[in-house]
Amino acid sequence: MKKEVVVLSVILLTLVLPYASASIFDWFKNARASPSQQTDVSVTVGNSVPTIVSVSQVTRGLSVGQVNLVESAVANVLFNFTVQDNNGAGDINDATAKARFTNASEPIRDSTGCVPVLIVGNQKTYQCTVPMQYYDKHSSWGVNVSVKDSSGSYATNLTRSFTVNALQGFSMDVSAVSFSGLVPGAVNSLANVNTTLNNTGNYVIPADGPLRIISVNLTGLTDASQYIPADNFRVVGSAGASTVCTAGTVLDDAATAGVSIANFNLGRGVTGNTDKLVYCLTSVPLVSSQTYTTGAQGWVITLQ
Amino acid sequence: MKAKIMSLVLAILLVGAVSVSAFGISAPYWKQNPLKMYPGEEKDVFFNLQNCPSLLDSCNSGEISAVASLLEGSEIARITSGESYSLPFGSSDTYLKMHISIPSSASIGGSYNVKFAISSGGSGQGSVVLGTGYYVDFPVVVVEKTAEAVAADTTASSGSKVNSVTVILFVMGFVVVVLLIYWMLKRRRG
Repeated sequence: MKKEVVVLSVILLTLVLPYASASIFDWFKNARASPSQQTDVSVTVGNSVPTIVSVSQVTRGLSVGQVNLVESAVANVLFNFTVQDNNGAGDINDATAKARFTNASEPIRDSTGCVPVLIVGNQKTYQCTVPMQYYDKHSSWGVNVSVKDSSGSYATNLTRSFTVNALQGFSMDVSAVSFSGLVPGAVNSLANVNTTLNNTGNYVIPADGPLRIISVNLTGLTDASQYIPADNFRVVGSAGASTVCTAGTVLDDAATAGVSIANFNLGRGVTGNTDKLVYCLTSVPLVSSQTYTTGAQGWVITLQ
Repeated sequence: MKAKIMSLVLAILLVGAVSVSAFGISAPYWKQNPLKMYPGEEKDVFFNLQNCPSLLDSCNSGEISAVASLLEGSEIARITSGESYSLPFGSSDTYLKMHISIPSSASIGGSYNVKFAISSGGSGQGSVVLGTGYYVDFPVVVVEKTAEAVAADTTASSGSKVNSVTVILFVMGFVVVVLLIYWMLKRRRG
């Protein structure tokens, strides 16, 4: 019986051994010699400079490190950074915590506030809010965070960056355009109203892509077999308004991707961010007198 | 006859000027900012859809219906959030989700182009109704697997190996103990 117990113990020990890594020799390895003489020790504790130990990803939306701006509005972008001060978290001056977003060709975006949200040991975490404009450039932006301690020692971190996404958006002042007083065979008739487009995003036309119009023919409401071809219309941006009927872009209902409109410029920002589309019906075919319309399908004004 | 022709004045309706706000789309990638992925990688990309989140008076305060369609890149991309989107007035929390999958056989340095259209029909009434739309067009460039991705894979696979080894050892140990008890009981009876 005793032999069986010994065998069982050896087997169990064998099973446990792979999980144990320390040995008696480790104790000797860690042994340190103690000083052999007494001595006076004088220590002066100076101020410990704070350090920024982490900066969170800057995210607004579903994708980490990417920021979605808000059409025609300010987007508040929130993120955190953590500071360590070996004099204690209380030594960090909350009032000096700040953040800014930078891009070489853009105005600096400063935080409206960085508030402490967590204290763990010697570390304090701040949440910063940085307002960004809807027209801020779509590109990579840098993050600069900084804070001081009660002695005025300064910590900063410039390592984080993020992407401002491309925001395509515009508003129009009318939902339809019209022509009046037309007769069969009439030429070069201007629309009663133009369409003013207002850029509500950070996309620049034509630098980032052109404005296109996907057009359809105007069909008779009473007799659908009669129509005015889309190709009889020319459209242009305000810079080409005076020659729209002769030099404006000819629409094409067969072009499923639409046609790119000439002389149309839409900048980003609070100035230069509007332009007008001017329309000309170059010739009215010999069709019956009735109302002609694109129907609900309409012409689609498209940013690319 | 001349008078008759002259009387055929085309009645193309006059339409009142109504302020209209187009919806907007925020895209994480564009021509100068390509999506970079490695062979075999899969990823979901999100495009944020907005309908006048500024709530400005100039906005048409109605819901907008938009329709999306993939035009290029169907060999690697598909829109997984559906074709139709209802954007409530003032909203900016709707997303178009696109799943992108790079074939394992894709060559490093190669690229694909992904393009989709999203548009909303006009709400006006008149001769030429105006709708709004956007083309979103961006390249997907095939790159080598980054060290980070390799490390993440290694960690994941080594983690699973450790788990497998632990389970096997545990099972073996259990079997040995059971056999030992069986052997002892048998000897005792004998």
